[in-house]
Amino acid sequence: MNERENNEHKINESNKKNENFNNGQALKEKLGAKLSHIKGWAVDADPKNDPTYPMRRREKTSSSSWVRPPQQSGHEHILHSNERPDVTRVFGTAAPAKGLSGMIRRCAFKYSEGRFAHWLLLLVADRVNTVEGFANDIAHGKSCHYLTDKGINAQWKYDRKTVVTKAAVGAAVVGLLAGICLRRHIPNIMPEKRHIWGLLDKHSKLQRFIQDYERMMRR
Amino acid sequence: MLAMNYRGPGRVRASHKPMPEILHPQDAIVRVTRSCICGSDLHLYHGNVPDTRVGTTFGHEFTGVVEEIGAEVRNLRVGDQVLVPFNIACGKCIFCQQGLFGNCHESNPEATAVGGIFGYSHTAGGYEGGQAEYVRVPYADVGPTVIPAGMDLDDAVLLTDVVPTGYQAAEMGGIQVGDTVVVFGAGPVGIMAAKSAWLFGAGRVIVIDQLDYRLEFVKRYAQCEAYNFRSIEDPVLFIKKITDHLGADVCIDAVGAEAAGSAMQTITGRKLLLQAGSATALQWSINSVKKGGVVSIVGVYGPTGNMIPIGNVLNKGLTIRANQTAVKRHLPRLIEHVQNGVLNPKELITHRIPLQDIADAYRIFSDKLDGCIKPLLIT
Repeated sequence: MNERENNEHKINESNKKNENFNNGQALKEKLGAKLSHIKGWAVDADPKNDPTYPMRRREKTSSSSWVRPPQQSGHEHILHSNERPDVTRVFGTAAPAKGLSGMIRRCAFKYSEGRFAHWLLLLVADRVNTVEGFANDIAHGKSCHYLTDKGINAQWKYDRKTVVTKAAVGAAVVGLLAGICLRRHIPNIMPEKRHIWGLLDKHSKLQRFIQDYERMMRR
Repeated sequence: MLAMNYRGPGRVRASHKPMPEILHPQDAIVRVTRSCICGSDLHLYHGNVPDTRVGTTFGHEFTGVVEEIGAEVRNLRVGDQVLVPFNIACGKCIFCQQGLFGNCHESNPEATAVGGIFGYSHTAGGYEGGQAEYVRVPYADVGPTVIPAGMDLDDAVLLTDVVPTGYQAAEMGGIQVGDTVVVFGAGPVGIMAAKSAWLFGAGRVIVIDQLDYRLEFVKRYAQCEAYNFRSIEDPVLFIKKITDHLGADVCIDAVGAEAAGSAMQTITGRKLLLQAGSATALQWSINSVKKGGVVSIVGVYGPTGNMIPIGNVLNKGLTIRANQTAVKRHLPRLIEHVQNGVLNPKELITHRIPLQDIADAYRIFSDKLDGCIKPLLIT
């Protein structure tokens, strides 16, 4: 492409841009009349909206290209991603890693953020931490808070049906487990129900398996 | 002081904790006057965000009064009423210098992918949150903004996250005059995204959700179309049909990891945690947008990975834009919009609940009880 063609190309491109802009203006005016009831309509319309906005500054930079703030003390004990060289200049101190969950967290930070093991271990640590927290509650006599911590009061007020359903399902599961565990004692406690338990026993593979196992052990 | 205390998935309580202290010369201590529960707090509440430790306090949307400042704080004075953006940003690193305050490199030691966030697990820096009577605010010269005289505190507290996030969702959509914009999710952020889409010149705004009371609200508040995906069965097909079978110009995912609507996504993402949350809204966004269109993501997902139709992203030539909101960058414009009456965020607040009833507040918000859209905590 010679210089003249190049100039013509530039002029055409410029005209196209103006045309688009004018079309945009016309559309804006047309829609502006239609949507005048919406306060502030199109006040922030920006035809130059860059898809990478605001990452427009692409000058070469490195981690030493800014003056780092002073270091918060106590950083020696803070776990940090191995994808960065050190602890950031400030950090949170909400709940330092400790106990068994802390050990698992320390192990997790040996893996980079791109490794599934890193996040899986942290999730495992969270669940262990929940048990540790519950044990701590029991030790401090706060285990009775379990249901209120779950917001049972609000659920009872606004969604009683769910509470009742959950309670019924919970009771059924507990009852079933208790029935299996106490299968030999219940007929003695409630002799009149013997036929029911007998029926259950008859159809229960688990019962038969346990009986076979006990018989084998007696031999 | 009284503060929210996380005890494990689905369990929180208000309990007494030690007062926060100045730990760095650029810190401030703020007495909280308003704080909110955010939809993204529910990801923590449900135990879906790795490194959420028992005993931490959540909360990244709050306003307060400056009680104490560190030796190097210059822009704040004791007694200032401030709104505190959810990002913790140093203002000096290359990312902050580009206005990417949600990607600060000097505030989160535990992960490089995200900057520090108040009360959002140790994966976001391990900071205590604002669902408390007092909170430590690092880099106090950068984030906290003095609330303009006359501004309602209820409006101010929503400028810390919800309003800028909805606004940035629309901004990232690169909306051009006359565009059709579909917003998935009619939570507070989705509602604000729909409202903001008009400000960028959208010609048509459509919101998709499953809760009728929220759809009714957004229809009135954002003057848009609203549809329940439970009644339209296939939202992607529905959107294609109402957009001349081409799709929307811009789709916004304002739901994130807790999306409903797909059994497969729900089981693998929310129940079994085999992926970083349920990506139903993102999947629908990708499939509903026009070829060459833009998908804007502000819904929060975990750090591992998700099942999304990435092949369709390629085949349709889509642009995906996403980020944690750079609240500070948007504040001057949004304060102007609130002051001019273009935006009226406080209408989103449906519940005012004392901090000591935090467990009930989370349950109400999580289970969408009593027509809840946005709960505000009173300290």
